[in-house]
Amino acid sequence: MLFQTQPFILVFLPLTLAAFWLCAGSERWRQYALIAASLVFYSYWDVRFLPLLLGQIGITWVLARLSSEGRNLPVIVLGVLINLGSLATFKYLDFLTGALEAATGLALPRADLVLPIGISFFSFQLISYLVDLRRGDAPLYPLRPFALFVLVFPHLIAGPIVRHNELVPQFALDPRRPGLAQRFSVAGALFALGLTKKVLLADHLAPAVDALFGKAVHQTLTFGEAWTAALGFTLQLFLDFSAYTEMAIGIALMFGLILPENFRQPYLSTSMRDFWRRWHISLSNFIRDYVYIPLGGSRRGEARYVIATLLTMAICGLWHGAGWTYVAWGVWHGIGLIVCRYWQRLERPMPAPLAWLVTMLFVIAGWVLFRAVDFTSAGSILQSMVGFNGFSGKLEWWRLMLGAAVVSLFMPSAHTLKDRYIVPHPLLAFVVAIFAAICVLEVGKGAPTPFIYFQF
Amino acid sequence: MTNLGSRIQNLRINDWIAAQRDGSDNPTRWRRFAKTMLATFIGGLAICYAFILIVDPYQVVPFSPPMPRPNIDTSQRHFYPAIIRHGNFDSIIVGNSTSRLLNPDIFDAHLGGRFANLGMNAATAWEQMQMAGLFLRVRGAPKTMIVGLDQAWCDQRADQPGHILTIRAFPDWMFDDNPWNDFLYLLNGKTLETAVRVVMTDLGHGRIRLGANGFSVYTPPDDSYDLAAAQHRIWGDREHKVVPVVPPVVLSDAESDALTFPAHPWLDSQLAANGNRTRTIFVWVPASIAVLPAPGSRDAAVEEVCKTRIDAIARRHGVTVIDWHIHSKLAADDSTFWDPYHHRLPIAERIQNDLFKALAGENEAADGAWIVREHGR
Repeated sequence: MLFQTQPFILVFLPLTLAAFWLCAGSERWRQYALIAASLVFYSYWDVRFLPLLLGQIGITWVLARLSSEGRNLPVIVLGVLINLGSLATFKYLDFLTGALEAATGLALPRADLVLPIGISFFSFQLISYLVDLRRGDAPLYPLRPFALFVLVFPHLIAGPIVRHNELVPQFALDPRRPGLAQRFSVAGALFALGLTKKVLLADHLAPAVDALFGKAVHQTLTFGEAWTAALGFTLQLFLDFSAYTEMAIGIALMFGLILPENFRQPYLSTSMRDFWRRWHISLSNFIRDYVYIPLGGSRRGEARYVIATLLTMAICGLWHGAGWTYVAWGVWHGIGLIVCRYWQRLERPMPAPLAWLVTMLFVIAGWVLFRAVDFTSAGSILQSMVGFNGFSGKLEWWRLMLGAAVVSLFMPSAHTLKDRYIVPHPLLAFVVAIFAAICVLEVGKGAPTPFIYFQF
Repeated sequence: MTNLGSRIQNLRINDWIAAQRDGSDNPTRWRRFAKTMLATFIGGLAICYAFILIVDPYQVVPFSPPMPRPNIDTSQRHFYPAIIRHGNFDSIIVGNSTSRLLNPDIFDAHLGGRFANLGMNAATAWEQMQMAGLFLRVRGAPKTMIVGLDQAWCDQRADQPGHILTIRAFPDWMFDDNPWNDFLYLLNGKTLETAVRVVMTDLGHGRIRLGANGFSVYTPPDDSYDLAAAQHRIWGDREHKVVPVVPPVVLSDAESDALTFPAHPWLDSQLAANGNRTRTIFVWVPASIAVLPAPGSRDAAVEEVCKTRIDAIARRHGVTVIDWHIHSKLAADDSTFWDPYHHRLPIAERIQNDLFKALAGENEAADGAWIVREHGR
């Protein structure tokens, strides 16, 4: 079930809110209500994957119990391997088979498994819990709040990646606590803003972007088309994912839960390090804490830093999808981070507009690699962008892209909106409600466009 | 750039926001905010939905009040089910836009019966059969059914996604026999816009684009025809001629047998369901030689296999098959068409008149524009 569809907005969400608030006085029953709603939400995609999700949660919880509060290393390792194994099987098996086939020349069979939606997100959350338990940073939770920490539907499919200690303690808080009207109002406004970004901007960019990246597989794009494709996807990806995040934060807030920030105006970044502090923050934090630092981070010499950065970002790329273009995108960003670090050491900062331009060009080039079907079409688009194929054509959809660019650059982050800009004025309430209603009418026209990050 | 962002955010609006935030921990103000938001959202949607249900532009709501509901042609796929359900027709014309210029009134006069033209722009074979299937279920077997055939019926992937439907929304919920599930699909901007246009048309501020029998002349006025513009649409930058393939491609029996046309069983089933009560006529519609398979080409050989198989279906069900979809002087004359697929209104009138000649027993046109492939009932 997609957040922006009529069944979700007009049926599922109101019913879930009604069930939750009917048992708001009981911690146990309101948690059951949320678990039940989350199971329905997940099953709506494909009920066949429900046992996998529940199995990973159950096994992780049991192993955590058997691990003597994390002191029993083999049990923790077993838990991590089971979660990684599930992820590897469903997401990477055919990719690894293909790599093996290319290396050996043997013709190997493919599993052709359907990717369970959200597996990257819930597997990472379960692994992070086991690692934290081992580190002594996590307690043993009862099954119900532990399951709810993974299952709670606003973040189940595409994050933000929430750590147990950010969420589990909130389950005990009474949702009727002071500030209820404010939380509910802000939640509704955030949801409406995200809905508007998704339906009126991102989804209108999608057809043009898809058509051009598809065309690039067979034909050389003109200079204008290549820039339209690159800029269009740059804007679409951010608007789509940040819209999802705002909707997720808004929905969670309706249940009294605060999800962490995921974006902080990333397209205003003036360096690659700055970019990764602003882009998909919950993933950045996760890979920093659970991959980059264990690999040595920046405190064990320069060589170790370079290796750790490249490896971490390659894994980050691979997390997004089982394809070499994703790995190359990750390495591209790893190189960017390394160059950025050594440039900053020279203590000769660029003027801010130039730094922004260089950063954005680097990011946009990376998104071409990220979105392209293969290296050939990515290379072709990048060549067209730098004029190797002439300078014909013009930027298409420029009015839509201009609007999308203004929103992408200057719309504050979800938490900034929540804490600062959503004020209790009836005019604002009226405007966001009108936009939400327009979006509901818009999405009723046909099949909804899935969020891009649902495929990861 | 961070500074730029901050500066933009620090415009005067921030003063207003700061003023609003004073006392923002006041629950009463937030309660008013929440009530305004919910009332506007729910109320706005409820008003839109009520308006749609009352106007009922597609005539699917069982309890909508009686009022004129003109066919305003925003989507033939949405309007035609109502013509079938609520119109008093006993005969149909199905096809795509190339069949839309066939005038039902002319067929009423020559063949008897009450015809509706249900040709839809860019209709796939599957969509055309949905329309014919709905007519059969709702009105019974048609007295006469005319099917406009073109390359869509020779599509070897007609049953694949992207071929079975087009990018145009097909309202399959209108084609079932349950009127109550239709309510799930009516709350949307397109239906709201259509409802507003219906009301505006009733008030004299709109244009009725489709007759009650589905017919409309959708091409521009014929006196505005511009041959040079048409030729550009037909040929683009190509040379204005077709080069036959020599020697012609001849498919082996094995190659012919391997060809499958998924749309043919749909047609066969529909004819079988209609039964002997229906007189059926297939019309292969004309197309410019610019898009007809080049003579002697493999595509031409495949199309001939396709036509032969449709002939076989026609023989089984007593159908007359008239073929305009051939290389002829008419197809080679650019002034026949607005674009490679769409002929002009006088050509449509000739197709009608010559159809009656074919039914009267003629086998071909004097100028070679058409031939009868099968004579039926």
